[in-house]
Amino acid sequence: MKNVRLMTAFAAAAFMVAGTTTPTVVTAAELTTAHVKEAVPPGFKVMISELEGPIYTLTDGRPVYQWPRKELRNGGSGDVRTSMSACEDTKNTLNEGFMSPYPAGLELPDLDRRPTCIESWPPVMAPADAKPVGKWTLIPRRDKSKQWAYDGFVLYTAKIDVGREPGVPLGGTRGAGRGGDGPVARIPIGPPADIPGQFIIDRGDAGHQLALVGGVFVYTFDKDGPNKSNCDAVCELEFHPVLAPQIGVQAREDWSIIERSPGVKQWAYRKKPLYTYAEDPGPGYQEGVDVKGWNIVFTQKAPAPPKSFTYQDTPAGVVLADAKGHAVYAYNCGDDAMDQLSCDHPDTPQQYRYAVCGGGDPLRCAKNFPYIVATKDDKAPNKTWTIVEIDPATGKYPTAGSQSLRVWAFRDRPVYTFYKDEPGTVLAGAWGEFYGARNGYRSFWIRQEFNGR
Amino acid sequence: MTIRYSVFGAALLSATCLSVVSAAKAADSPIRNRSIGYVMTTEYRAIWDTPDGKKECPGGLNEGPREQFKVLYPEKPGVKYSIVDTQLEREGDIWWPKKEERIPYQYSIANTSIGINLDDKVGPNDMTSPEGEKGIDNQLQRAWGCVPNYRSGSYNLGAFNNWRKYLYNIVLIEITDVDSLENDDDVTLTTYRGLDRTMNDATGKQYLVGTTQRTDERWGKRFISKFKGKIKNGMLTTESADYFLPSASGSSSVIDVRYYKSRWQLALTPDHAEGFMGGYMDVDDWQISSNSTRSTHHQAYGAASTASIYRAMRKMADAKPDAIDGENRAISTALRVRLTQAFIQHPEKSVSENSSAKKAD
Repeated sequence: MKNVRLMTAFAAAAFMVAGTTTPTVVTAAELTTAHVKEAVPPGFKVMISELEGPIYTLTDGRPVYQWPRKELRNGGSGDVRTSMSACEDTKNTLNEGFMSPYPAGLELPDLDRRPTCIESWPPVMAPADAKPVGKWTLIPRRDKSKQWAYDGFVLYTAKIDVGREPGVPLGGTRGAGRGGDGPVARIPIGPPADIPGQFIIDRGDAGHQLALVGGVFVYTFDKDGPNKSNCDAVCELEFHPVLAPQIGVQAREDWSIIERSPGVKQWAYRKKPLYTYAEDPGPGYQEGVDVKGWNIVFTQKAPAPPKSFTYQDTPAGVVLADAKGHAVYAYNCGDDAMDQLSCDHPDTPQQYRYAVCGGGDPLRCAKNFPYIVATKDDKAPNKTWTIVEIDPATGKYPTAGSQSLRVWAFRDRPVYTFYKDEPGTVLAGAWGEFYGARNGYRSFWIRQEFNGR
Repeated sequence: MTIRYSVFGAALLSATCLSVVSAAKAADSPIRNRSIGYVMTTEYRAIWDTPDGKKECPGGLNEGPREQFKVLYPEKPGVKYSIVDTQLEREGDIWWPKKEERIPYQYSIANTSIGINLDDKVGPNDMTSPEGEKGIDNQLQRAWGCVPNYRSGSYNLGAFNNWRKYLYNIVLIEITDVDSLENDDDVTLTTYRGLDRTMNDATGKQYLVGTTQRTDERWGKRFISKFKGKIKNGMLTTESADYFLPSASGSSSVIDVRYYKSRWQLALTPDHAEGFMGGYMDVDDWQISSNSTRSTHHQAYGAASTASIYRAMRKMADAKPDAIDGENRAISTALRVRLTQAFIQHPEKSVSENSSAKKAD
């Protein structure tokens, strides 16, 4: 399979400049998605997360999260809109049997160290004199104290974020790797993106990609000038201008409307006119990037991976890989207790991972899903891709006298390769319970051509 | 450079060079430029069974993960189980199967099955078809014949068949050097992944004949295989070649299953091709594909314990001995397939020279 480290036509590959491994310098204007300026109560602010975009945090930078209820195979968990928190100060000791075919009543691991729900997810409490503001409301807890809620869902902070970089939500993500049969996840909240109603933002591993409602991706053209289209009548047969309304358009940061011809208006984003590609078979495709000079559009690009990493063509698109071309995997895990605590971090029980990476054998795991070791000279390129110290014998942080390995991590969780992969294969992209969504591995799709369609 | 597809361009150009009569005949025939294409619309595993299963499964049918769990970890007063020792032990076994089976496995014992003679020999372990054809290589029959998931009437059979409709899994065959669909002693069958969905008629029950299907020659290179073959009395039989069958599902898996020394045996008509694609299936590929596309929960619908089935497949495997332990890693099998005629379009690099879209540099 072709190593596509030097791929140039593809905007996501702006992580790396052609012919080099230098991360692209992202200008401030390109950094993030413009957001709606909502009224915010005292004690909160907006920060820009390099992975999530604009998020709400406490004034000290700790992100705030919701835990919306989700139905699983045998019942559900999480908070119901406008209702009291379901996260309480009780320690769950047994599983709930949410995930068929396994029954309830099985003892959970590491009970001596298991936190209660609110120890992991402290509620965001409001002072007695707090008043609702806009989407921000107050919902009483069982003890009558008041908990902040946003858009009807009560709010939490994450224990994992304490003492960490401000504005970096390690407790959850709105990006790839959620959904389906995954756990009932905590989601960092943020203000809505300030985009016209014709558009949506598709959050993938390459970044926040601009699409029409329905999921068809949009493009820009290198030959266009600022707010000027140079796509002629023949060009238009392949790249259709995204037409804008004649009236009733609200002024928005980053957005403008150009007049292609008298009475024909076209949307432009960051002064670049927008198009769709006639030969994209449908939502989710981006075949237009294979036409020279045409680019997909990110409102915010994903943080650059380590510069030694590569991109690989596979039968389903382009995947992130290590320096040797082996697909990179993140590990996801949420337990089967009522509070759905995470089990995918070095601070959490490792038995779940050991089951699927080695049939319960840590040594087999280390061989079959090896960590991606960072060299002594490697430095973290950003706050999302970092280097952590791990004791490979336990999967946890090293302690005095234990082994220690410097490994690459994504969102503070080590990343792995799979021993059977070769450049161009992604054999472990759905490895584990429920295709890896529940307790298993996922790959980083920089471009997806077929999956799920 | 974009990849474009011309609509029947080559075929139409050819037709206009012929006489009016021959052009009319050519237009009636799906054979264009001595080639005909088909898209796979139906796929079932070649497993033979009887309604009550007594002949092939006298010990009964195998149980699935839900029932196995109850046998291994029975509810007893005062007994508590940990999730590590039970659920995670089971999931670990699914992904890393142990050597030993803890629950007796029921193998199909009948020597009757369907499929293809893959090695042109009649051996002691070969199957005989219900019509009396000997030499059929289908050891998967023994491993799968008593698993409800793969038997007639299984809920999951429809689900497996549906996989062939996912865009990732579209299979095209193109038969070239064809002079006649009745008799031709030298043709070539080439497989491709397709880029277009199969199309139904307005009833939703029949596949449309004569649709356009584009080949994926960029992402789908691994799915291109060539088979030499002959057509005799309307039956195409190919020689063997290795083949990757696209086998993804709705999840993010990119798990394709290798068939070694595979061959096709298809009854051809202008509208359809029907028969078998057989070969020695890579057991480890199947295991990863099966686990990645169907969770334990879904496998339980068909009482399919993939760990137990994997062990049975390894035991019955009859090809690809491993270089280290000498154990076979591939098992003879076949798919019952039906394909519908389609016009195959290959990518072209021709684009309008006048378009500013192409004048970027």
